Amino acid sequence: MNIRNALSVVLAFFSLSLVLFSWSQGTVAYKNYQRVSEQLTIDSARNSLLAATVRLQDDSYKIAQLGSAVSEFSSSDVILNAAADQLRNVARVLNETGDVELRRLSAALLREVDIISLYAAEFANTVALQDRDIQSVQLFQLLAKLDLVRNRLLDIRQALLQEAGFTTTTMASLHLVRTYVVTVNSYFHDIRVGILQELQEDIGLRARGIENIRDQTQSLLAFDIMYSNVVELVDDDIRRSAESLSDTLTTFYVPAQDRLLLGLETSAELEAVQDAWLGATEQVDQLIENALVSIFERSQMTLTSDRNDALSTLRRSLAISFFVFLTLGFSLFFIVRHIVSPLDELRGRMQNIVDGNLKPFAKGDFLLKDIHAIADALRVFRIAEVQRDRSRHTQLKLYAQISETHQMLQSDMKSAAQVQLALLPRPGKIADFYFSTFFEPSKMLAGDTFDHFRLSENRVGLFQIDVAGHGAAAGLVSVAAQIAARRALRSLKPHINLADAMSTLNAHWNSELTYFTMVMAELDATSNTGKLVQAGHPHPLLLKKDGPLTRLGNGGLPVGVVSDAEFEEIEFPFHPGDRLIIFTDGAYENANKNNEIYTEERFLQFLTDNVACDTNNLVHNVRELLKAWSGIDNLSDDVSLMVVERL
Amino acid sequence: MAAVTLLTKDIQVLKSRIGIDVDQTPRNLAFCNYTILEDRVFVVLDTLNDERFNEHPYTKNDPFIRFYAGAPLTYLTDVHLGAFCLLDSNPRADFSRGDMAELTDYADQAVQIMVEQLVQND
Repeated sequence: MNIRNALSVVLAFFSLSLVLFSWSQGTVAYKNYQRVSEQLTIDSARNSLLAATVRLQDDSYKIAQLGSAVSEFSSSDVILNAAADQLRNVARVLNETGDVELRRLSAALLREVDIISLYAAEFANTVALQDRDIQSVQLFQLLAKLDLVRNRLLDIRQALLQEAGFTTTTMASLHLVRTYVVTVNSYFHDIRVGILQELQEDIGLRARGIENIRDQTQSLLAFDIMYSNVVELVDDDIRRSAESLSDTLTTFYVPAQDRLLLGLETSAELEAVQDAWLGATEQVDQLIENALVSIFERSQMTLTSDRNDALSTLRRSLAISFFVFLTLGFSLFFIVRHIVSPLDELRGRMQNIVDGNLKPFAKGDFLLKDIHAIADALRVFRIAEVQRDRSRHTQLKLYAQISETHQMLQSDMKSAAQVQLALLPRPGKIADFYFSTFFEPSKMLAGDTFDHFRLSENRVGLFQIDVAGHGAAAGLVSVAAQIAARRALRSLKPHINLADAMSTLNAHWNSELTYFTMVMAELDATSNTGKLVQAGHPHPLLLKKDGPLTRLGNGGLPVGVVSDAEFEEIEFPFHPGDRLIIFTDGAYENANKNNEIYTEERFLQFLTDNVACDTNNLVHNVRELLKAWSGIDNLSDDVSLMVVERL
Repeated sequence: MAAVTLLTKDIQVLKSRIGIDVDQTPRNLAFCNYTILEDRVFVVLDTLNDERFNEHPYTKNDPFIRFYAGAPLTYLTDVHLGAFCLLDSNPRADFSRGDMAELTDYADQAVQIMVEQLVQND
């Protein structure tokens, strides 16, 4: 999974979470708004319903007044129909909400509207009657039926209340106060209708009715006291209208009613107290109406405020969601534009470098410093790779040149080695002497060389040279030394001291060339003697037939070190069966794999142990010794060995 | 402005140049004198903020150099022939490691071309 895919998955989950979160927030805010809006509608509908109920009550009061002949019917009075219209409007509003329960209540209201319309028609027929008594009886019968309608309307109002519920304590307080006013209104209505009924009764029949009215009044006052205690709990401004109503009832209306009831019982000053009572009734009526209007305005104001709050919350929720998604969108754009895309680009560049595609890339304009630093570091890596490529190319060219030069050198060295080998004598017999030799250069060219040849019929000359160092330079010097030595020995006259020949050779040796050690010898079969001169070379060994191994010579300086050096000639007997052994220091100075030198002492001991061997076997054993000690291919110094046997 | 310069005892020779009119300058006025002292890229982001160059004739007069970056032309160890340099009449805020690496590479290529010509002439 690459970074783009991983980021897509992570951000998809993140976005989904945000959507769900915003959705839940928005839904809650919207539902709250919807609920408060519905409450506002229901509150309005309930108020209209209450107003219609009150109007119905007023109509009942008017009907009662007509029935008790307190007033006369006027055709301008709209009895019942106005209340029916008002209820019809409420039903329509509830029906429009779409809520199933509210629609059911709406239907119930319409049924009541139909009933009220029937009663309105009945009322019209009744007022048209001429007989006052019959008319009065029918009107009070109608009143009883209207009371039932009013109670059903109050039930519907209660059902509406349950449907809406309360959202705040203010609404609950308002409900409490409104319930108080409505209940007082019910009591008040029943009482005043009762009083109106008693007004048209004969004085003798009034006692029971008046008692009943007094009971109702006591109930009203008891309710008023009980509710006053409850209403104490709500806010001052809300309960003020209820308190005003309560005060008016207890201090003004009830005394007026008491006087009226007394008047009814005694018929004394009935006209005056009746007018006072009607005035008090109107005042209470007015207070009830004012209280209801004030409570309705307050509840509407509260609910409108709640709805506005809910609307604000909804708008805020939508605005926050919009801002969150805007931020998310911007974040996505930023991440993709300034992080993911640059990383893609850098990954491509890195892969190009790894794949060896070292074309320069554009500098690029990266907003983030970190990305910019990575891009810059990649430029450095590319250049490092370019330089490595160039170095590798140059290295390979140099290797080719080295290889070519090496092959040329090897070829030259091979030729030189062949020349050097060609200069060496073959083993074999000369006069009465047998020569056996062993030669092994450590490099292709050796600094060692030797020669032996006949000087006269019974005389042979021989020499062995070890030029300081080894390799090509020592090899070339050894050739020059060999030529010089051969010339010196060949031009040697009988009885001439070998030391003089060595001195001449030393004096004429080019001082710019490397010095060398040397042994030069002359063997005479006639006199059975030998003589030699040693110039810094390892001591030659004389192996007498059946005798011990003897070191010959006194050392001497190497040739080419001091131009006027002096050398000493040694003479020794050399009878048939005697052997002379000459060797370079490589015979005992080569090291084994432990870097240990073989040493001259051990070499002499080895020869002593091999004195019984014939000449060829002796040389062969020395070769085997070297092979076992350091290996023929791993010699650190050239090795030359010459064994001369007197036959 | 860019140039490949070679320093002799007395003069600075501009073997190759872009945006520069002269083909040589006195050695003592060469910015590249500082470049050849070390093996790494020598950078002056703003000559006016560098006391070595704020009074320099090429800073105060034409070509009014404000920015300099030079990579030494290294032929052998400790042998710097001159410099591959960039110049600007405006100062710069930054000369990154990547810029330095690429400038060094240009200097190496210049030396390689010169060495190849040397081998051919031999």
